[in-house]
Amino acid sequence: MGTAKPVTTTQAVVTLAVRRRRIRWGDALAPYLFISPFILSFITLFIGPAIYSFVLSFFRYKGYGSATFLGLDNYKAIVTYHVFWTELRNTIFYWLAHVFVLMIAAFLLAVLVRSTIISRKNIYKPLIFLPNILATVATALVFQSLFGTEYGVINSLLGTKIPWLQDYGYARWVVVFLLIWHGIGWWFVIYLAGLTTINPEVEEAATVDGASGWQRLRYVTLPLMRNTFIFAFVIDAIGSFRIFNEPNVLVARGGSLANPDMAPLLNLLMSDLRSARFGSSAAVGWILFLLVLVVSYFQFRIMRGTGEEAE
Amino acid sequence: MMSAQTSAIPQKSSQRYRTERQIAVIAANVFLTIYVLLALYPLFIMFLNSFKSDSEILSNPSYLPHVWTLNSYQAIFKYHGGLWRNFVVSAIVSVTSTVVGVFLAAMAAFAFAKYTFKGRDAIFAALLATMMVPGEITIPPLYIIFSKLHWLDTYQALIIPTVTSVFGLFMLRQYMLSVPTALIEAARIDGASHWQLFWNIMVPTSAPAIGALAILHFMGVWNSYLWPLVITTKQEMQPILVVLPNMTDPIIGFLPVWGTIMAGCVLATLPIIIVFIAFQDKFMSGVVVGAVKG
Amino acid sequence: MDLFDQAGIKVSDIKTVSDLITVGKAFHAKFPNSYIWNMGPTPAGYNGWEIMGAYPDPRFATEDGKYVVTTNQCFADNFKFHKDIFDAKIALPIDDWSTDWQKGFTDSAICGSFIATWMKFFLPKFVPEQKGKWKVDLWPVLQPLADQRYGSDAGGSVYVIFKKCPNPTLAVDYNNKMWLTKAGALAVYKAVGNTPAVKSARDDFLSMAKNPQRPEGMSDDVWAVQPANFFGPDYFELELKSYDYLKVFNFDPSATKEKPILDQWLNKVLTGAASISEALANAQKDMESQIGNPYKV
Repeated sequence: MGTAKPVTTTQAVVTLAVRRRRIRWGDALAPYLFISPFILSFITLFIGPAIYSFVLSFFRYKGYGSATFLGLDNYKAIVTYHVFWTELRNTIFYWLAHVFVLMIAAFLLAVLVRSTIISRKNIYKPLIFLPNILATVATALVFQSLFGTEYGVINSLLGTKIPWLQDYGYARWVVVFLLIWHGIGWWFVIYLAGLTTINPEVEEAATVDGASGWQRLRYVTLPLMRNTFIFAFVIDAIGSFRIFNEPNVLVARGGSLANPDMAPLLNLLMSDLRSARFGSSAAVGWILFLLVLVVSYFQFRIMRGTGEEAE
Repeated sequence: MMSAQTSAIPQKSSQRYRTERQIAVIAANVFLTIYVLLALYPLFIMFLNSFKSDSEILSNPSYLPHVWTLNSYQAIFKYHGGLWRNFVVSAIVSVTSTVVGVFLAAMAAFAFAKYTFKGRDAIFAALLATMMVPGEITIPPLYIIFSKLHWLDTYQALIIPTVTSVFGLFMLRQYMLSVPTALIEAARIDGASHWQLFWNIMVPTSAPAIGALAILHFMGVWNSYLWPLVITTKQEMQPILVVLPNMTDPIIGFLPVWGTIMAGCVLATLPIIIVFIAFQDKFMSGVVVGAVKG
Repeated sequence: MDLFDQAGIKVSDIKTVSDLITVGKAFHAKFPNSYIWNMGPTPAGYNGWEIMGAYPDPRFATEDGKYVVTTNQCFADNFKFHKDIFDAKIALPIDDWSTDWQKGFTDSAICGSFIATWMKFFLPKFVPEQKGKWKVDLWPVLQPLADQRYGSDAGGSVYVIFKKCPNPTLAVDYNNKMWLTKAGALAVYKAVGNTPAVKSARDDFLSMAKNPQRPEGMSDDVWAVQPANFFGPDYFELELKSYDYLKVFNFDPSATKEKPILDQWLNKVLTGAASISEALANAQKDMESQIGNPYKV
């Protein structure tokens, strides 16, 4: 602030007064005051409970009375429980079965809408995004009607009587469908924005060099979108491990938890919670976190890796 | 740059090009229209089914009602003392959470974006890192704590854990970084207090991002299911979306009352759709701001 | 016009589960779109209590905390009963409470139910137009090993009154009066239609049920679907007779955790993913590892 400015007397007085006020208030203090409500809430509501949860995971505690130290027993019990593995398999299935279709579809839609072939972008954009604002709970309830065995529209269109929601072999695909249906709008918007940041001159240059539309897409657009893709896949993976609403509301009757053959990992946390096995419930949470870390790490490695090869 | 290369490109006759392009335009528009109609079909069905009787939904779930009726909407008011109470719970929880949450995030984002202070980057990086930790990890301890405080089935238990969002912080900081610092400096010279810098300068200037965050935050809390399910036991205190999957015949129980459920879904979705239609751009820009430059 | 007469079936002929299956097949053969029951791959499991209640000392674990799922015959027979019926395809493969269940009744695809006591509330709601067309009978005594007839849906209720609640003695008193006295039982019947379990109330109940009085303010359609009007007055005599066979399952404090485990393994048996002995062994293993000693909560 040391620029010399021609000042009038009044301005000089004001500046002096302001400086004094500032020094008294402590410039240094201000930012800490601004961040403290957030940080304090965050510590109280997230960091603190997370630490408590970590400690709890080594005990058996039913919410009252005393807590018994168990060492790693909770973790051992979980990884030897077949329901844990079933639910883990389900979670990974829901994740992998939906993410590729979701990302490809959302990206292609974005490419299409962005291209010059489509002029009414501002009509299509919100309409494509719209499914994402609906609560997954409400959508799952509607899907129960649509996928009914005897009278659902899907079966009447296909002329079949497939027990979409009763046979878990089919029901898990309905969950995948719901995840894709719900998620396309979100990633479509993100990809569209990402595409818009690509300098059109780069694409023009490629056209001039004789590249077809597909070649342009593959060799120019995709590499430039790489970071967006990495971001998308990692965020979606984290979200996929936390899945809860879709399988449960689609299949379970009223507020109860779905059968383990359909259930995601969070169901184990919930069923332990409801049985007042808080130590075990906490341990499930930390196992979930560990899985998220591992999966994210490998995703980064893989996606960064392919990028470096391409370059 | 382009002119020198023109001869190297195989030229189609411009007429063929135009026809091909016209076909492409029509095909693309048809495709997108069909896509949109299919994608919005469940929403449409939700709406239609809310005007059917419970038994018609079971026999005719997918097409226009044979008999239009308002019974389901009336049932919303009669069901177990009135489902409108659950709408009120949803509204109070969502609005309070949004106001408090956005406020906290805005203040912190301002400091991270416009101030230099010791530990700033380290703290911010640490906060970002926590985004990897699934929020559900805090469910068992928070349940125990709230339970011991006798805060089950209370507004504070529904609201408090939803308030801090690192995503929101990130989003607002991102935007505030792009607000010219000169603006702030000028205000400081004019004698503004730090609070005034925030409230009178930064907040109005960041209105687009703050608005976008508010909308996304509201939507997130309004649509949430797991946490309210955990922390409420009494039906009167459950947000509407938690009650809906559970709604059974008021007299004999057990049987889902599909008409009432659909009507409830429509009413629960309506506020979000209205906000969306009014603030489309904000909605979608909110999604983007946090993501693209990440 | 009776469907069973048309199919040449007499319910009193059913003496074993195989008889039941033969009857079911004959019925389905005569009416290819109908079945005498419904059972999907994920049955709600309450029918299990109806089977297991008929055995001597039905329980998940002995009082010293050891699980007996593999040794107590009631579990094996419960699984076998479901599996035999499911495999024989005499039941419409739709689960209770699914969106197709009600339609099954409206379309007469489901022509029978093995659990009458509370179906008396749902059936009139599902198919009011089938009023007067349903009859009830007691479960036959199906298996020589069982103590008595099957059919006791021994759900039962355990009322727990916390010592620290505001009015514990009052609460106990209230519950006693409501469920265990004649006046209370009749009041409950008048209010919601539950048949009294208390024997002292039987005669009064029967005369009330046979001459049903429309409660004040009840509309025509609701009145029409009250059990008395739907099933006719004979229903209640049989229902009361069935109460002589009421059997209580010896639940332990961890019953709510045990039941889902049992249901999961029943589902696996029905879909063929596990044999009955495997399912029982695994169910017991799960209960032992996840619950431990069910009497030590």
